[in-house]
Amino acid sequence: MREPSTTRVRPALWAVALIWIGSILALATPLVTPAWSGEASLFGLPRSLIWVLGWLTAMFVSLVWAYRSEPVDDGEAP
Amino acid sequence: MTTATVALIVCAVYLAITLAAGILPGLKVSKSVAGYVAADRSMNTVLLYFVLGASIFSSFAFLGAPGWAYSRGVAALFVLGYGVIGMVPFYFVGPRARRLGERFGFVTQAELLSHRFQSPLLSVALAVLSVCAFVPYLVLQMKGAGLILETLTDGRISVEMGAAISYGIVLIYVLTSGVMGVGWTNAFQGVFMMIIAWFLGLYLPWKLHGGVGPMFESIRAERPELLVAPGLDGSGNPWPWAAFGSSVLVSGLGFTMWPHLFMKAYAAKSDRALRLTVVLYPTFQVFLVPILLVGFSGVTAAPGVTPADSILPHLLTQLEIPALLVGLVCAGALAASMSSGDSILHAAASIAIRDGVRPCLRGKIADERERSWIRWMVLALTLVAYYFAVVSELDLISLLLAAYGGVAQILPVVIAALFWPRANPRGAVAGLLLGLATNCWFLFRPETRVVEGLHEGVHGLVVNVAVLVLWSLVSPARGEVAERGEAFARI
Repeated sequence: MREPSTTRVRPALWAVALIWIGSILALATPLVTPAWSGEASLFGLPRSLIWVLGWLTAMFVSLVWAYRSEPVDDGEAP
Repeated sequence: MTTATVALIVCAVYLAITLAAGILPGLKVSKSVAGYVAADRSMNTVLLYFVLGASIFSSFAFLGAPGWAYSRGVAALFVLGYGVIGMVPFYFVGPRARRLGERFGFVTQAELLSHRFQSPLLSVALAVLSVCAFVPYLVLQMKGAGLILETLTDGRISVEMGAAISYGIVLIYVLTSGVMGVGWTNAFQGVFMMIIAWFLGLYLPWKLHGGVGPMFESIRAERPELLVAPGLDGSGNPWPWAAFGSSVLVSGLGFTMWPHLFMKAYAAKSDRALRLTVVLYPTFQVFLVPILLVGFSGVTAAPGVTPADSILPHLLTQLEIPALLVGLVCAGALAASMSSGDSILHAAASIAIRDGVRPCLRGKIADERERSWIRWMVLALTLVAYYFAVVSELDLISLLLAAYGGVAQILPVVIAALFWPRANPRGAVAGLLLGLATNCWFLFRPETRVVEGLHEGVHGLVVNVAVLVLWSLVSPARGEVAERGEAFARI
């Protein structure tokens, strides 16, 4: 069992929060339109699909980091 | 045997397994309300993962999302986009709600909020909002299930009969097992849906175009406008960024505020189980990608299909694929419909009694009687939804779209309840009600919106947050309410 570590939790949670805000700006506003509105492809897929999947991946990675940084405090394995 | 007969046998086997998977787990939970509604707070990560995932992927995912990709191109990425944003708040909100549920015995969202703000009015308002949002959702799932069986049997089973068969089975296991039955059937249906989705999403582009890359090349050559974000609107014109972005935002913020999802926090056996479910959720989201590929595969291979939602059945009937596979795909679509419908039905009945009826009665209701009332409500709501599914001509799609903006209005109240002790109860109630009113105003008077295409839910959220924050700053909560707020924020 990992030792509870409050110092490791904070940066991981900050990463989740920042990526979440970033994904809102990237996916729900036209601020970064040029990055994903073209019809050109990447890896044979539409650029917009790669853009959304990229944010999904970033969110997943940050959540994994945050989860691994959580102290085991409720005594039960998931 | 004909294709229809084989496919029908596959669907019958699927329905039989679903019924068994729904009934058996109910034998293990207590006969209390907490057992029926929150599975005695014992759900592990696997069950939570499938309950949250399969509940969200409804018949829209199997029929509507390919239709969007087919007719509106990358506008369909809206469903993937809001999923990226949607689950994250639950990483912070879910465990806290779970701990409060364990301490105070909450099994619904409104119980937590009305306790925190000491407001029975809030409880009743949320019950009305929830049931109004759930019924159209349930009706559309029923219609989808009926349509699948009708298509499969060339009309020998009518939409009415198909909806009755599939939701008769849902009714049996929801009545018998409550949320545990929903959980185990969702696990079975979720695995089934994912396998079918990935099979179709890779098979159809390969069969029709020689692969995913060549498929997009052909679209780029013939319909390039479909690949330019944010895609097209329903009439084939470019979708405004304001409409796309605000739809992603409102749907994302409201995602886990849907009461049937939020209350699953109470069913989790631990904080870690709940957090891990949120962490793993993006792996369920990826399941939408092959679904969208199905729609894209029809763009140049089968132009002019109307309505666009029928592109998947259309492609299946055009291609000579084995009858067994046709049956499996139809069973997968049935699974998508039933896995959302059962969760909604169970939550709607629980909320109607716990949050709508109970606060209006003076005195405590015996646990056994309350459980019985919830089950009667399950039956009543099934009949109401069935009536709307087969008889009524009411515009349910509009009602459902309106519900998304309405459900998003719950978010500020939840955040304030859990993290802001000085939030004023009257400010919270007024913010919610005015946010809902604003949402409805801009829904029915779209010409008055601040920016053309901007989702009505954004207008509602602005008013909602402004009222809640300003009221609470001017007149912060005091006394017992403030102490309760401190306790909620510390837990």
